[in-house]
Amino acid sequence: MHEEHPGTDELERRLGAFASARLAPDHIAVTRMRLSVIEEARMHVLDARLSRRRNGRRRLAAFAMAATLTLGGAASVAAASNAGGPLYPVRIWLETAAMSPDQSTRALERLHQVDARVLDLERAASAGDQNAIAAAITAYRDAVAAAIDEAETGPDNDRLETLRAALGLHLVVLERLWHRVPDKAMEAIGHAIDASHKAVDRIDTPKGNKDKSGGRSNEGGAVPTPAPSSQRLPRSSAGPLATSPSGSQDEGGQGH
Amino acid sequence: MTIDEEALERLIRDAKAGNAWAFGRIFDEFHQPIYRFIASRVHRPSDAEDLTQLVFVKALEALPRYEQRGIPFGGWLFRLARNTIIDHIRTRHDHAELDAVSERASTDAGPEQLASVRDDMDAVSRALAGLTDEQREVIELRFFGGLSAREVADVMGKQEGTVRGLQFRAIASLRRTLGMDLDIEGRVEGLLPNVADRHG
Repeated sequence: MHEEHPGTDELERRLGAFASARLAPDHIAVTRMRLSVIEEARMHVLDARLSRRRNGRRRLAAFAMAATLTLGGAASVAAASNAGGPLYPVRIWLETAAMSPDQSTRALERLHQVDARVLDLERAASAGDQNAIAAAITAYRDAVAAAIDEAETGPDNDRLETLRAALGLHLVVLERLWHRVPDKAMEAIGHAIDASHKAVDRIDTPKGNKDKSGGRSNEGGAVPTPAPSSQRLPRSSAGPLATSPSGSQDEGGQGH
Repeated sequence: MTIDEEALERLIRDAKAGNAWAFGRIFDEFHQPIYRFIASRVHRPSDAEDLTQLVFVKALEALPRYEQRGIPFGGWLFRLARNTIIDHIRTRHDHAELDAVSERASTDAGPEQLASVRDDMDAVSRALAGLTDEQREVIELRFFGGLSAREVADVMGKQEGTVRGLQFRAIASLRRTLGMDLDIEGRVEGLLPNVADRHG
C-alpha cells in the first residue's frame, strides 16, 4: 500500500499490530453496534414506507406508537415498554402490526425483530433485571419461531440462510451474556441458547424430514440436536459455542 | 475492504431503497476501519463504540443524499467519522490518548511475550503521539482506516500531494522514533524534494 516509501513494510506491520491490539472492537461490541444500527435502519424503513402510504392509517398509528414505545416519547412510557415492562407485549404487537404486507420485506422485518429482541435481552441482562430477562427470552423465542415460519413460506432459500447467519451472531451474544449474568439468570439465558440451536436445527433439517417428523427431528439432518443447556454449559467450560452445531465462534463475530 | 466496487454500489442502492439488511452488510464491511480510526482518536473504548454507532446512524440518515459519482463511499463515511470525532472532542473536551485504550492481547502468549508486545505497543503509541496532528491523522486514516492517499485527501479536504508529503514525513518520524533502520535516514531526507516535486 505504501511502497513508495523505503522500508515501510516493518513499520506497517507494527502499526497493524498496534491497531489489532489496541484499536480493534471486541466481538460483543461489534454485535452490540450492529444490532443497534440495524434496529435504526429498520425504523427508517418503516418510517419511509409509512409516510408513503397515507392510506394505511392503522399501520401508521401502530408505527407511531411502536416508535414512541421504542424510542421513548416520554420516559415513563419508554420504561414501561422495555422488556418486563407492562407495555412490552404491546410494543411487540405494534411492531408486528406495522410490518409490510410484502412477503419478502416482511421476512426481513421479522429478522430485524429477532435482532431487536436480542438487544432487549442484552439490556435486561446489563440491568440485572430477572423479570426483564425472562420477558425478553420469551419474546426472543417467539420472534425466532415467527421468523422461521416467515422465511420458510417463501421460495427464496436465501432468507433461511440469512436467518441462520443471524442466529449464529445471536449465539455469540448469548454466550457472552451467559458468562456475564448472575447464576439466577444463567438458566434463562441457557434456554435462549437452546432456542437458537433448535432454530438452527430446524433450518438445517431438510424439508422432507420436517414433514415426516413435525420439523423437530434430526433424523437425516446435517447436525445433531444439542443437549439441553443445563447439561452442556458448565460455567467453566469454553461456552455453548464450543458445541454449537452452527459452526465456529467466528461465524457471527465480525459479520465478515 | 472485502467487497468489490460493483457489489458495494448494489448494496448502497439497496440500502437507499430501504433495505435494512443491505445497510447491515455495509456496516459489516466498514465498521472495523471506522472503529479503529475513531478509537485512535478518542479517550475510551466505550466512546469509540458509541461514536462508531453514531457514524453509521448519520450515514443512514444522509444516505439518500449520497452521490456515488462523487467522493468514494469509504471516504464519505470517514468524513462523517471525522466530523463526528471533532464534535465529540469539542463538546466533551476529550483528547486522543492512545494509552488509555485497552489492550487485547492473545491469551496464548506467555507473560514475557505479553510484556514484550506491551512494550512495543507503548513505543508505537509514543511515536504516534510525537507526530503533528495532521501527520497523525494521515497515518490513522491510511494505516488504521485503510484509505488510499486520494481518499485521505478527500476526507481531510487537502490536495493528494499534500497528504503524501504529510505521510512521508510521518513515516520518517515514526521510523526515527522507533529506531528502525536509522541508516536509511539519509535516503529518507534525500527523497523529500522528489516527493515535493512530484506532488507540487
